[in-house]
Amino acid sequence: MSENLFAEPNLKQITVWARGVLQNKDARDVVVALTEAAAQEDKYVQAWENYVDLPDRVYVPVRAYAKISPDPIDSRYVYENDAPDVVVLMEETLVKNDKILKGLKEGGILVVNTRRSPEEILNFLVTNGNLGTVVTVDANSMSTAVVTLDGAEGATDATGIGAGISAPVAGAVVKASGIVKLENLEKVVKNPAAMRRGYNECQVMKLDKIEPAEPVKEETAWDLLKRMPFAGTVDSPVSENPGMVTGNWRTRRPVIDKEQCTECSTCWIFCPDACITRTDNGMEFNLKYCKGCALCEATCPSGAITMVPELDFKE
Amino acid sequence: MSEFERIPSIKKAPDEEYYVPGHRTCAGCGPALCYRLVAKAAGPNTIFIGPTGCMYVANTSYGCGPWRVPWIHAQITNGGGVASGIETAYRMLIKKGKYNGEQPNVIVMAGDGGAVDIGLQSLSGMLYRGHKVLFICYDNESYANTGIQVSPTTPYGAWTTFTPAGEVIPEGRKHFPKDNAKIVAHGHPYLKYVATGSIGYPVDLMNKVRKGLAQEGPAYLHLHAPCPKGWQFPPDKTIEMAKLAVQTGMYQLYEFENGKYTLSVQLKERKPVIEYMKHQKRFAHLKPEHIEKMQAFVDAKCAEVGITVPVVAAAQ
Repeated sequence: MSENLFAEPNLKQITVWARGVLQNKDARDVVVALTEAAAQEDKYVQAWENYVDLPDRVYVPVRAYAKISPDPIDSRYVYENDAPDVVVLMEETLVKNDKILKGLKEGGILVVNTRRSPEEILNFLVTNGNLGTVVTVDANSMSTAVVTLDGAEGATDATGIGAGISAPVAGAVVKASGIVKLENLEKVVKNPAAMRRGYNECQVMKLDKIEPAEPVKEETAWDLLKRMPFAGTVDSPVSENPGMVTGNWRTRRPVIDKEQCTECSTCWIFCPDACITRTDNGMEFNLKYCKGCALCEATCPSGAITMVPELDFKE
Repeated sequence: MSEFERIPSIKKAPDEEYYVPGHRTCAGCGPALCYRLVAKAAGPNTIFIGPTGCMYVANTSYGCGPWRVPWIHAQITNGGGVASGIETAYRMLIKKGKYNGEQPNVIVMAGDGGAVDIGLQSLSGMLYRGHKVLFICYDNESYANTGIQVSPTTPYGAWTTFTPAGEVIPEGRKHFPKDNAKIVAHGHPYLKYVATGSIGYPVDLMNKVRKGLAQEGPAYLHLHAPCPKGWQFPPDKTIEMAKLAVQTGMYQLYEFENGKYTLSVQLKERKPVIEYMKHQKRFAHLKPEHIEKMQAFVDAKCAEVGITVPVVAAAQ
């Protein structure tokens, strides 16, 4: 997207990242709640999901977007937020994803649903370019996630807006950004008490210094088109498919106790992603692609595999 | 049937992978595991045909794919037709001396939509004409790729986005599922081999793939592949669901050859169907009378193939 195609100085963009299927609804609710509240303030608004991330798959990072502006939104047909003012992570391990702050405006805000402190979250960021504020909110302790396929891909949503963890997360967004008035958000969400807790109990850390983002050469749509085979042939991969690296789907990683492992191969045969290799040194996990489904842990007959939270590891 | 090498155990299964890491299938995806096991059993001289479904869309996102062997997309309607053409082309090239290699294994990997519903005519045509193709249905009991809509294999009582449970229809899905293995088994004179398999029983599944490929004509495998997204269970329970389906008789494992059913797993008793259904949110709305109806249906299906062991509830 060319930088000056739309001059919209008053436009605010909110990008919400979440885990596919399990948090799709809550991610959608954050953008819908905030835009519904903004609409009550006579703003021009837009809320939608990233079509590229659909159909969503269990654990795949997915994005929901909001645009809020006092002026008509000229860029309303642009299907991705290219320069977010606020980035929200519905699940903490998404901080390891190097794409989350892409395009962030100078002084932008990062809101993370986590029990950890803003300092800890800052430690995991691959880059903090342009970041001005880090906010953490323990939404899981304030509300229960709504896991539903309602409202996805043509289905009717009967569960309402902001009944789950979206309410406290939206509250934290308002605390840090003031993007809408609290009382208007309160009118929209189904769980206003949790929303208020998110607003009141989130931790806001302003960074002393805003480090400028490293300029990234943007690939144009034409470049992308030239690379994309359509109705054509592509080479078969040999040992892995580098076009679809899935390691950043994982919220927990398998750790094996080789003393307890009997090398029975049960975990190996049941891995849908072929991420376990039998070696002379026992079972080896391919963390570049492991999605963290935990079938290896569930099927291991000797209890040798344990799923460990991803943020227990820096790398 | 030609000779084939049986895989004796999990431990002795071949290390080589032909469905490699790097695909956009759900964490804990049953059909993905299905693909991996089929590819492992079939080996390098294989061509896959992928009618539209999760195993096309999720595997080929953004112009790449996880297959180490040739793969081609077919429309959801015509997996059998595309496979017939490829099989015949190789046969003719070999006959005319224009291709020196061995006839490849031609395998269709169709979802329940591509095998049981939209693609059934093409499958039937292929079986009727007697092509040497292994047609596999990975059955996740819904149109999962487009967001979980009902398919003909969706079980009675299951919630889908097209069969929501409500006041008028409290059980959601009213129909009992279509039984494709039996539909194809009893109407195709040149069909050599029919079997059902499950990802919960990987050695059995892989040997059925090899046996199907060893036939001198068409073979059909119907493979049960639990779907964590559509059936709404945690991704680490995929194998448990697959095993429970067999242990409750919800899914029956057998081979059908020469007009006879041979059971693949010798159950001592069956668990009640609730043991399987209670883990899946798609059945969460059902009332006891619906569960009873399901139990009666499953009892009849088991009797049909010769599973006669009693249903025994677990001790409290």
